[in-house]
Amino acid sequence: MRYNCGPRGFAFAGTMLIASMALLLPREIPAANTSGELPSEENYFFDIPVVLNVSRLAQPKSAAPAAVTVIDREMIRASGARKIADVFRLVPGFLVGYNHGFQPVVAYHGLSDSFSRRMQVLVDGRSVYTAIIGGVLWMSLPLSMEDIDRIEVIRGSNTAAYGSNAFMGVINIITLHTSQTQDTALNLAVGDHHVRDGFARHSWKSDDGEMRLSVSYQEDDGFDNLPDTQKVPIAVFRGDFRLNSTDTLEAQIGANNNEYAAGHPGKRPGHQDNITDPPRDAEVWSHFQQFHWRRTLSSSEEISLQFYHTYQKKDDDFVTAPFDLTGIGLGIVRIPIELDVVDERYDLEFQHTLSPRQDWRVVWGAGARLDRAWSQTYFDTSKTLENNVYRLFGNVEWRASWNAIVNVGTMLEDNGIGGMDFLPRLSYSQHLSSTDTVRVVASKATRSPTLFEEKSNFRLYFQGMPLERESFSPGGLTPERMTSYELGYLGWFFERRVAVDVRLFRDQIRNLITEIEIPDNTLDGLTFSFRNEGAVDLAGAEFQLEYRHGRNTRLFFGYAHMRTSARGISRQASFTAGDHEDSVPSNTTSALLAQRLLDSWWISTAYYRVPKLFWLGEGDPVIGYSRVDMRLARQYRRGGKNWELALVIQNLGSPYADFDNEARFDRRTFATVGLKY
Amino acid sequence: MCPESLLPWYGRGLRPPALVLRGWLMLLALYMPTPALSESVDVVIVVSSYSKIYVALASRVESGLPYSRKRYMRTIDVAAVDDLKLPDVIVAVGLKATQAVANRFDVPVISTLIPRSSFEEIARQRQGKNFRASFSAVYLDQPLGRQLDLIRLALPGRKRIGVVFGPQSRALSEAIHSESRSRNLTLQTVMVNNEVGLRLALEPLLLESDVLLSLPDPAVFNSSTISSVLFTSYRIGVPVVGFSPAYVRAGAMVAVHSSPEQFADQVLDMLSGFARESRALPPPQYPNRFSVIVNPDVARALDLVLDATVLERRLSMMENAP
Repeated sequence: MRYNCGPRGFAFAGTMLIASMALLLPREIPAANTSGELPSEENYFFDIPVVLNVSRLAQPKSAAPAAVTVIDREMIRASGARKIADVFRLVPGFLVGYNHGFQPVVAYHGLSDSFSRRMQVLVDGRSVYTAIIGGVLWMSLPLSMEDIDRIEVIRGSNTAAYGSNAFMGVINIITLHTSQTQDTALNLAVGDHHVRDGFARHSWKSDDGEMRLSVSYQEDDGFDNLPDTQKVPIAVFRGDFRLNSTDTLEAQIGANNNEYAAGHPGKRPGHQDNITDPPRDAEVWSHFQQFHWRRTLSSSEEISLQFYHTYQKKDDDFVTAPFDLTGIGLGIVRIPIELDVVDERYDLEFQHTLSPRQDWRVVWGAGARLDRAWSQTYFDTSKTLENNVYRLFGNVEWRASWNAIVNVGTMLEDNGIGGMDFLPRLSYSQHLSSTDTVRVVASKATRSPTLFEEKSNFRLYFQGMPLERESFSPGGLTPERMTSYELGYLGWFFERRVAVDVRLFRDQIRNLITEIEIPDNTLDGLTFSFRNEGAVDLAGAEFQLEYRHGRNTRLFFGYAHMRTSARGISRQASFTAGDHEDSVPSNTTSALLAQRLLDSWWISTAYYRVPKLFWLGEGDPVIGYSRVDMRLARQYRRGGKNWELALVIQNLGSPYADFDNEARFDRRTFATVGLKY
Repeated sequence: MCPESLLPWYGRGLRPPALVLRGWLMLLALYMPTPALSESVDVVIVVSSYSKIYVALASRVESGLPYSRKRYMRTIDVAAVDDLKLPDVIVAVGLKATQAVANRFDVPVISTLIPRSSFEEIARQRQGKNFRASFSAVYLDQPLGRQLDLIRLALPGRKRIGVVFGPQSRALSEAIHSESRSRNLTLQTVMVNNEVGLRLALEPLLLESDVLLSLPDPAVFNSSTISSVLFTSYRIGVPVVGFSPAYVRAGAMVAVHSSPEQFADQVLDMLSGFARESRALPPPQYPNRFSVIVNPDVARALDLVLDATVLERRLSMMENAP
């Protein structure tokens, strides 16, 4: 969470006084002497740069103005997940679906097609959703799962802090700081479905910083009856440098080259002809550069400046199966189609965290983003489209009394497509005791149209002749709007071994951007478009329980119950109001249990259950499924190295489909070997 | 109102604005009248270097000594020891200063800002040379019992204390085990030799501990390992007890420590005894004046509320209790 600020009044003064005494510490004392000589006072008085500063310290959950699910490394490992997207099955209210092996969709509270565009997804503060379609290419992230420290999922709209894409929620993936990975690590996985994974990480230090290079490779052949083999090499470099006693610089550079086989092998009932989706090879090349400079002005004040650049290029050219165009005098031809896309982003953000008065913590900042997109086919132009987004945000946390906290936050966003928006959030948390907290939140959110929704002009040509218009956006869309109310409860029981998180919510979405079909005299008789129409009301409850018993037992249980009603969707829409309601499952259930046995064995099992739902867009109706995964691991030390061997079996039950009936997930088994030293 | 204003006046030695109550109280502690010597005793203070800490300590001692016609410069550094004309008593500040004078001059020496184990080693060497004059100290280390009491006061109910021993700190192992036992606390310990050993052993230790107590040892806690220690312990949710203000500022939750001025006052106490008696110094002792420092941000992030003044008061009361 962003809202982390200084301490209160007198404690602050005392700390400042002591901190100022730190000025007495001799800067010229050399590094503490090492063993062999007598211990000296230098072992006590050496200078230490601030490590846990205000922005690194999380607001305690009991003070946060939102419901947060934290998935840490232990949970990721215990879940046995091989792909990052699968980890989100654990979070209450989340859905994960695979259209095919290489492109999962992660959606919160449904209402999604194969690209969930109502969630902000960040990796170390870097936004990774694509500007064109608004979704995330999960398998093209330059990120290795082994480098993830934790994932913070904010359930509930967070546009006040994260901007208009954080409509339903925010996923914040945080990688390990280099000082946490001062090691060399190796990992291999081998399994059926041609699973061949490898990971290697090496770290090194200089006088002023630590660095690491992680290289990984993932390969598997996807679903049985689909040509969706995938090979993903990834490389990421990260360095954390201490520029001086107050300044640090985090630098990251990474790349991912996802080569995959796409397409469907034959005609599928209920789908468009696979003319435009034949089996073929495609590739997404993505890379990023990111720099984050922070200056600690005092123990409670910090400024930071972050710049990043992300680039994604999809190469997807193919020729269709023979197509009968004799009707227009062209005979039976194979049509060459290019679905190449380039999606690029530049972002600069300044943030200031401080405590101007006792009991007040303030975070404010400003940012500018430039999104650039190019796709000859989707936009019918060789020009690069651009969109500028400017934002100004702030949040004030006020400790009104020892047990009441008020958070007032807002974002002012000027989006080239959506216009200017003011997105406020107000929350009030009351500690009923040292172990119970009640929270009330009200907020307004907007979702700006994506470049595709606003400017699509998806045309197919053959030998220069216009053939088909798939999609055309007249433009002029206005942002979707949502008003949300939330009542939350957090409690600890049994000497803090059990943590309970309950969230009741009511979201009212208006001015929905809906896909519509316009009949015309194109080849297939219709063209897709987008229009603002429709209203959706979502209400429900989310429940999360976590239990820890020392180091040996860990239990996570999540459950969400959702009710939807949709209206105002015209007959031209591709999907009816009923379809929209069906796209939100009535409930989701997840559980993860990890148990240590006999000191070095770990056994864990995960359970996920999703009842029937209907995916908008390309998906099929899902009849409801449950899945049980198991993992058995052994850890031991040998020769100064930490080893871990594990066996993972995914889906002990019967095969299921979570998005597309052709992509049926059967049982997967693989073994991993890991080494750290 | 904003406490940033504390910094300028502190440097000028002026009184603070009355607004900042706790800061003022702490300041009072610094400016309290120093114990005076009734007799004129010739004291020379030898500092390990002219770095700020040593100078602060030395000037405070000087300000507590009565004017002496015998000495123009009371404070000298190690380099000037060769030309020293023997005084009645030498105050050696730091390890280097102690090494420079203790085994060279058979005069009473009070050593300060020196870890106990080093002092005892030098004392052994001095005895080996058959020096008869008194050799005492105000140790740099806080007594283990005080640190454990601090943990008991700040984190009641948390009984498992994690400790990482390095090559220099492992000498304290037996002492800390017995102090913990008598306070009904359980120690989880691990011995490492270097940074690599620390990295591998830290996380398993933290998962078994309620709090991590840091004992200074350059192989274990130095400016580059501390980052990793603080990150890891914070991630796991285990508070760290530090040993210096810099450590607390960096992210340790709490520490008990003594400032150069507090050491100086205790040295003056010891000297006042010297003047009255026959050149005998009191035995070596742990610091009796101390402060508790808290990092309120870290405490809050770990869902704890700690009040440094209250902890300090209660800790003093515990020690003064019969």
